[in-house]
Amino acid sequence: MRFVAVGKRVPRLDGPDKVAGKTQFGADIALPGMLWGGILRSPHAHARIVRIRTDKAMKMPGVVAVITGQAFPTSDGEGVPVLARAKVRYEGEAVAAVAAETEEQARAAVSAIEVDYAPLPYVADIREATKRGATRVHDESEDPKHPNIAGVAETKRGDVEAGFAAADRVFEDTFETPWVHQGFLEPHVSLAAMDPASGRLTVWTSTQAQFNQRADLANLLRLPMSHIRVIGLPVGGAFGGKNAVCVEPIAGELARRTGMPVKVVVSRRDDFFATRPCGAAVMELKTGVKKDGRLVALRARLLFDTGAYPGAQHGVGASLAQGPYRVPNLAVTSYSVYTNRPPAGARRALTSPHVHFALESQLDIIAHSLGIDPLEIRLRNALRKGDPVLGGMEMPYTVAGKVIRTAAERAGWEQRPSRRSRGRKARGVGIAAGHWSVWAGGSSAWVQVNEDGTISVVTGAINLTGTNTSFAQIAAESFGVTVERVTVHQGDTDTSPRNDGSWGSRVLFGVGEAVRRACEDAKGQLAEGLSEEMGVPADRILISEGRVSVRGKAGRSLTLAEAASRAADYRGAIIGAGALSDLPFAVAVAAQVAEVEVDRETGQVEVKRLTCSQDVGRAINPMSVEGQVEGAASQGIGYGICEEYIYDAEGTLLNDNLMDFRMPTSVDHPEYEVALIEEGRDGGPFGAKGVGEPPLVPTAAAIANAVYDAVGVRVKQLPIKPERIVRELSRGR
Amino acid sequence: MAEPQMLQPSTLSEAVKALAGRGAVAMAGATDLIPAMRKGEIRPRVLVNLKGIAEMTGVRRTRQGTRIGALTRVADLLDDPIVAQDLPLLADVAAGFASPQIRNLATIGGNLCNAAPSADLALPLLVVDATAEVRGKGGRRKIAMSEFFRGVNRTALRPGEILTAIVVPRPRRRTGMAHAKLGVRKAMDLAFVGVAATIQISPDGKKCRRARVALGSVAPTPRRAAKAEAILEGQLVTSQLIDEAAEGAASESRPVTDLRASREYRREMTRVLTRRALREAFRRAGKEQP
Amino acid sequence: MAGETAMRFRVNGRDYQVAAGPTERLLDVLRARLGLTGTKEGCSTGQCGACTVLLDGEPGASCMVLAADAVGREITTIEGIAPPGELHPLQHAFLEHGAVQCGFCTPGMILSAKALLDRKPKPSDEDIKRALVGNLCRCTGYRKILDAIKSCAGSTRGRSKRVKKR
Repeated sequence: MRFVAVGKRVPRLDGPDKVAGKTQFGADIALPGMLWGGILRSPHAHARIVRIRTDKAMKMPGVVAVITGQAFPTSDGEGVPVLARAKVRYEGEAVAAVAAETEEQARAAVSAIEVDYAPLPYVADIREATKRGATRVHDESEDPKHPNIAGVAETKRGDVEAGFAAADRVFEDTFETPWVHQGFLEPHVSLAAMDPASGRLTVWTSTQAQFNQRADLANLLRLPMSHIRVIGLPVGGAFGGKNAVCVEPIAGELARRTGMPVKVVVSRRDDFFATRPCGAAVMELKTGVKKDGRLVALRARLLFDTGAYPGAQHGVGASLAQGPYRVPNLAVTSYSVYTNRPPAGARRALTSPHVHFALESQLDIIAHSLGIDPLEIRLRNALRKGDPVLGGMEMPYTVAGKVIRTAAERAGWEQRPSRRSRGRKARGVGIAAGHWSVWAGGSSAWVQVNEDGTISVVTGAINLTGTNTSFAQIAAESFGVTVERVTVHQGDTDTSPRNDGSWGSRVLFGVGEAVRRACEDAKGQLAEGLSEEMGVPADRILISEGRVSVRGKAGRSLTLAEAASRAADYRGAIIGAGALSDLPFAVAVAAQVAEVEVDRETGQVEVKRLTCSQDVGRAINPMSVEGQVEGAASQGIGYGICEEYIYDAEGTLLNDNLMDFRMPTSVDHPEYEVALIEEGRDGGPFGAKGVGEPPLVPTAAAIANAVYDAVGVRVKQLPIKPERIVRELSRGR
Repeated sequence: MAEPQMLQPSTLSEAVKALAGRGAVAMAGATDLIPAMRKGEIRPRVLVNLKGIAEMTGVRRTRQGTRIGALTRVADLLDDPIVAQDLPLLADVAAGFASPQIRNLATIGGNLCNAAPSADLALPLLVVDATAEVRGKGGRRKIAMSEFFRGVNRTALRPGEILTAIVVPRPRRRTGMAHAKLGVRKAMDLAFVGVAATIQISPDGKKCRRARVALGSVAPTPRRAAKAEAILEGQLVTSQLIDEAAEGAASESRPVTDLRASREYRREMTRVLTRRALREAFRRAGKEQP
Repeated sequence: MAGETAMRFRVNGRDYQVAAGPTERLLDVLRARLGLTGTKEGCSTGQCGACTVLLDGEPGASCMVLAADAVGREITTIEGIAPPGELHPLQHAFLEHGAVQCGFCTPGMILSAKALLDRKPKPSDEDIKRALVGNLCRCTGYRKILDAIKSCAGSTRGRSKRVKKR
């Protein structure tokens, strides 16, 4: 199939404003008469709120309003209170908020709010938290015999005990991953203003999900949805960290009480410990294999730290536990566990990177133990078409093996040094794979064909990764015109149709398909409008390559502009709509080979090269897809070797800044090689599927496996700290 | 919080007078000061901006040695031809200091006066017996770099005193210098351990005539490793001797466990990095023309 | 505000007179007083590089500079590196190479790159990486940023290009 727009390397449509510094992010916006919001946060990991006195703060210069937990009788959609009521359950939990005329006045007023806390014992470790007698984070509603269980998910297939009985070898290992921040560079920010005449509230915010924001705000502020307009702003990075409501309800409530616009900017420090970072996990795997490496049984017990409030970690964790492999007998029990930590949010691919770190590390252990090449064991077990995958589906295509093999080939797997070098610096190579299920969710788009034949696309999906540019390519392809003839507008909740949030790699897959369907709808309307004039039934009118013609009648054709202008006369307007929620899951498989250098004396790990392959179905915009792969892998490198939250014995976060929470810098990145495979086609536009999450999934495991190859140290706990390697090496001496 | 008053003296005596006032705080590059003020850790009533004081700027050679004005920016240390010749180790360390954005603001005097246990720039100065030039109400005085640091964020400066310059003695013959630093990231990282070393060898190139070893991030202050130095001085340099000296440095380190690394790891890395720095310093000393 | 004094700043070749407080940062003056919001605030502690501006041609973290200290210096922000309606070759290269994703680090990143190329028109790969250690990017993994800067090596002193209208 020849394409005119799909598959082209099109620069981001929002790029010119971004490189020029013209893009207005939340912090850049100022409204006339705007007040500043400030938030008081708990210094305790767990405490009862005995008393809050706000009278002093109220009298401070410039202060217009002070609110406490009473302002919000209900919690948000995930069960997280906006301001703590009666108890604080993590350090940094918001307790009260103020609105004042200047930022400094707001800050001063916050420190004038007096709170008496009665500190309580706290629990921070997931394993401790599930023991009998553990401190309970939510004492009112829990089973004391099984404390702090926020959610359980179980999945079963076959007979796992019979599987272990039939296995030649059984391996049992436990893996751990840390709390990490998503690492977006733009801190959370929101503005709100209420129109006193209509009682309508407008909220401008840096969010991944404006319609979900609207639903949560309607509930929290007790307003009908029609009275709330959420305007999703350009987002300076999110990676799952801006899925949920954050300071929007605080800005909204302060705006309502004061009748003035209110802006709330979260500081970098507060963004570290008081928003929704990615939670820790402990994963126990018991795996039975045949001598030839075939997997026969897997029992997994997964504990995900959900922090102080409920989350969705356990469900997704359970659904991914088999990895991109055939596992005939399987039993997974997955828990979300409460601790006195921040409420855990999403991070690119949710718990898939955790689970795959465990699975892929253990698969490496198995391969080495059985004397099978780590590549070979993966190929032998790779999912094929028709294999059951979790969630009651069947694998729709055979592609996993090719993805894994491609990564290995591109990395020169067969030529890699077979023995570990003896010098101070040891090189090693490791491979890992991973998968992610892409769910389209509620997706919609409008497409208008203008009288001059240009095309306007409107969606309510937040454009994080350049999806608007891909939408332009999809629409251009549908009409057979160049990308320059298409504009894409991200509307807000008043001006665009409803969409789920921009998460889980769903936007290009789901909303992209909605755009394609909206284009088809518009083409149908054009054809109907013209059918009488052209004297042929609508289904014989063909729209392609920017022209409208009659099938089988050469010579009778109109330009799109002529057709659109006439059709507008007949129909008023050509407005195509696409809305869907019914696409089957797409399965996205990624594989990576990491080459590392390990300093035997200091334990320092440097990732020298990272080869990434991935099935993307169809790369609508290869440049953008490569950017997703490289960016995700970069986050995987951070997850693998340098990022973690570090707490002291009092439960206080110690590394609440970008020096001590170490994200990889320009000199910490390897050479990347990216191979895109365009084979596993699902219901997405032109066969495309989500691409953003999968490439983070295998990275940490590939690095850990490379470290093992280099120095023979098996790290089962992320990040792979130099100190851990040195300790293990000296133990082995 | 009351906004502080900003004073911009143009001479040292004006600055000394200004600093005598209540709540006066000296300011140079301000890269440590601004975050501390914003966090409320310090609440100055008067900020004394030293940047207009000509006497505190520039690098030049004097009879005592190389004089580096305290206002010299970290970025300038990288490019300065005199530093490149007289103390290339300082330029090396400056190159790994934070980022260009910070190196263009931060000053050597500010980094030393902030007196962090990890103060990068202190190490090369400690191993060349540099001296701090200080001016206060009582006039001028000199403080050996080895006496300058007194504790975490504490120096030997008396209230109201200003660090005006660092004086580095003329380079010694047959001397090699090296440093080693360990962090997780390859840049923008506060070191777990930093080591600088100099070795002056005998004319036959075999014996260590004089040795200096300085350690960072393994004690409340950057400090010399006297034991390691004593092990080396006067001895035939062998790989075994260097190992012993490295062991000595590790044994006299006083590291703590903090968010960046454990005490045990820091001590072990003190040994590893001291050995690396000494080996390199010895190698370089052999390359120097006698 | 109490304690404000009038200060003169030279930004992007223009002179401004602004009243600013003694602890006000250059970042605050640029963003809040002059409306030059292309300079971003990501961490407030000099660790992310989003607030990078050029001071006399050298990159500096504007969150780490008191306004009073910037008086008399030639300040360049992202808004000032190309004439209105045009793009600097680096801006153009960032677009064409896919070096822009969320765009929050982009202004600071481009200014760091510009300072490097102005000083060293043909930098090595290592020079480029070293020049960017103070500019965190969480979206791209840096490869496309390096490609964009490399493509400009030796040519940025040339004229800026017209913005392509899409």
